[in-house]
Amino acid sequence: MTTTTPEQTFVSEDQGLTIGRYHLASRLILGSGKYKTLDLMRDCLEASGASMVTVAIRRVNIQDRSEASFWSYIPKGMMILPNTAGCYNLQDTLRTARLARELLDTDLVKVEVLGDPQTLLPDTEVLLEATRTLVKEGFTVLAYTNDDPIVARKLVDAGAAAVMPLAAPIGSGQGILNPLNLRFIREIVKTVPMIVDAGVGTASDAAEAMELGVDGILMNTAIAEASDPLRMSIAMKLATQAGRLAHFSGRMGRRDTAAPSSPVQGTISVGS
Amino acid sequence: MTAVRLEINGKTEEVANGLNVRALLEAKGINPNLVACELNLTILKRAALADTALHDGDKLEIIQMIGGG
Repeated sequence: MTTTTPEQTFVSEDQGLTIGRYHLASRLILGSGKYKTLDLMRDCLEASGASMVTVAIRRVNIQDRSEASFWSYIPKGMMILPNTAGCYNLQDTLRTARLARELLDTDLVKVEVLGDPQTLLPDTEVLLEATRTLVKEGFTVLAYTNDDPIVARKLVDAGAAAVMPLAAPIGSGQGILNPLNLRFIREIVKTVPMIVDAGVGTASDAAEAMELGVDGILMNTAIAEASDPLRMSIAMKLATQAGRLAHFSGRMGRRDTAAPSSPVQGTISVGS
Repeated sequence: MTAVRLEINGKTEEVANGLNVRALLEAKGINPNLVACELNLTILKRAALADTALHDGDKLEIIQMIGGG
């Protein structure tokens, strides 16, 4: 007879993440950029337990075909989420999304429209327009956005299949800069998943995001630029689970004073 | 046959006349299943690559997926 531990029970209670018609067993989504080697990338993708990986769409280098083997390092069965990273206007964004659909035979797209190359913050006006257009064309749009609750609501209204506010600027590793806004967004985004995308630096950031009640996390640099990416990919997997468990555990109340954890009676102090 | 002048991924290039897109990809050692193509801003279906002739002045984009976040 096999017995189930509480840990197994609680972890198995998590049904995973549903984005449009897609189901992801893991709430962690990984990027595939900036790894020192493709072998390391594959190992991290596998170790993280992620069900989905983002990729960029770029021109083929006609002279140097060394990038052609990239696809073979994506673990079998992982869903591929093409992004529109590097696009600064509507035309390029739509064009990249449509090319990605032809390339990968997928309707999934992470719509990322950048506002400027210094901050890499999203141009949410163009993002909304791109989302509306691509949703009409049948895309499953995961919208990378600012931590702006109003834009988040408009993205839901525009038909986004997931709303993905940043924790901090892309690649900054600053952690969650505005937890209050993420809480506001959580209150607004109820009908589709809310996924924190960008800005996570280490495992505690991932746990904090999940504790806020978000449905998932997308990260790249926090793993790829860690000194030991493979170890960090496992840390992120555990932190994502830990944060979710904590979210549903009901955090204790905060006190402005200390409260002893051990009984105050029965101590052997002299004079009592 | 004379050559035709194309713009491939932003670079001007001369290729043999009468090539279709699939033949061009194969001549360059590019697996058609791992790329998507856009000819003069129109995306080509993979199945149509062999039926799409290239003409002088055509602008061809050949894209692939690479690492990104």
